[in-house]
Amino acid sequence: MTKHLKIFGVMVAVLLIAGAVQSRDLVVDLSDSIVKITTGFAGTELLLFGAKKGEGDIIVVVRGPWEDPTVRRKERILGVWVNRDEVDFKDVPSYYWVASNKPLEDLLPPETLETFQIGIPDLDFTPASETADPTLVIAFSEALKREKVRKELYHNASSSLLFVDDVLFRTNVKFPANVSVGEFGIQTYLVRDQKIITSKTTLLNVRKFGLEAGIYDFAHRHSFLYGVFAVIIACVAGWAANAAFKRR
Amino acid sequence: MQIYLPIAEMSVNIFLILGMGGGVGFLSGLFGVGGGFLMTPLLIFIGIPPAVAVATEANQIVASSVSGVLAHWRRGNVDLKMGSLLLIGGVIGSTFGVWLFTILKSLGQIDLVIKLCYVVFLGIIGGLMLIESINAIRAKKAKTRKRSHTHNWLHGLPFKMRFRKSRLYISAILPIGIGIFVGILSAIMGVGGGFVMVPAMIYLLGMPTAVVVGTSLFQIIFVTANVTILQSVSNQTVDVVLALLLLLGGVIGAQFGARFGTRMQGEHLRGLLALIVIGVCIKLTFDLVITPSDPFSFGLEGH
Repeated sequence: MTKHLKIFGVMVAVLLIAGAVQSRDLVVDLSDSIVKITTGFAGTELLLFGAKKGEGDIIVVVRGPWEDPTVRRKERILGVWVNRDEVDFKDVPSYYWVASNKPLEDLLPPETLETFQIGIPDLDFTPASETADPTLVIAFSEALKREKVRKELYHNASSSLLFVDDVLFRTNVKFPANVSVGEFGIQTYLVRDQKIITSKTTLLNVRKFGLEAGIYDFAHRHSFLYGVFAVIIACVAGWAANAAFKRR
Repeated sequence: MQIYLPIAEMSVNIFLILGMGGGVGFLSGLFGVGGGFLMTPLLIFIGIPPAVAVATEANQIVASSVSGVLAHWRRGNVDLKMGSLLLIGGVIGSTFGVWLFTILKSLGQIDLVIKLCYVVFLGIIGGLMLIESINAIRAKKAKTRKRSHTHNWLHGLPFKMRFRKSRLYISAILPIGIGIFVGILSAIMGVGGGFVMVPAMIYLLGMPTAVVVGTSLFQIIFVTANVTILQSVSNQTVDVVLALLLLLGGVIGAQFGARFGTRMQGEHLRGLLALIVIGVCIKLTFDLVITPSDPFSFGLEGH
């Protein structure tokens, strides 16, 4: 029932957008502006839809909350694999999704993809320290990208964006269960003749809700009390188990 | 059915976790060990971050030890005086251990240290237990009697105290020392430390076997409680949802294990446990030595 209501809402929004696009070049919206992480959360999909005016192709880039990851490389020392070299990166998007109606290389020249950081190969990560070895930085960036792709946090969905007609377009953005919480920016680019004509930014929030949020906040804000609480729960559970066992 | 773990920040299959709790619970009921040394590697294996696995397992062991100690308490098998001395050492050791854990984590070496500790201790304990149980099985056939304990330089240490329940007159330094050592292991490895403490109490202190398990469980409750609280404060890595799921499975498994265990002979049980311990040890050694498919590992600042 709620799903039908949602679809109905989306349809209304699409109609409104189709009207609004008369006065603007590009209009974009999401089926939901908040992703709620609750107990049963196992990833989710959002519908991104919009309308454009005139000729052109569309590229959508979703970038997740920024994080400062550390990448380490193991080396064999005395027969055992030990973490040796490490590179700290700063301001890396924890989530990156790119969708377009054609392969990115056909839409924009390499310099533009590089400047606007469109496409996983063109993402540049900045090391936290300026003295970091450049060859290490490149190798470690590639390793980080591979890991992100493997965890489905980085995804290249070129050709997955569909045009309903000349004006309306839509695509599904997938968020895996291990997505980070925080604010996401969604850039939609209208591209014509190898050039970006206009772009539009939409925001999206991923937040923990209910019990999950409560536990997480409690653990971080009152960490001592949380620890005491965890011990009390364990003691009660242990006592209850013993009592139940004794009766039989 | 998936459930989202708020601290581990990942979604796991609820039945997988319950099943793991049940399986390890069965073994811990069967052998009378905490099972932390099996559960922590298993948790890491299914993708729980090692820091979360270690801290959460400490929390679960609090519960299983409370449940176990009550049964021993009723039978009068807890030496409170000995337990308290072990406890003093345990609190010192585990506090130091959590501090060490935090430093190693920031150096990026915590995973290695956890695994190396496992390999070394599981290897030693498993090997000793195997030899001991084979000898016991042989000795039983030959009908020879073993002396309860021998006197050595350990009995020359100062601060001697009398332990009525354990029928011992030994230096207080010994149980405190053992407590400190086991406390450090408990914080770094996410185990109760029973598998180190029980042999130490039997062979080093010469305590009667009947009192050993109850007393070690008594001490483990407080040490793992200390680890849980300290890990919560310094690393925020205790996941109560995960701990509760493991606990639920563990409690049920332990009941079946304990019943099954009464039908088996002690020496055979210990021999079997030794084989499991050695098996885990070999698996972990293998992981450290073979060339990893991806030499890179990833971490987050303060995570």
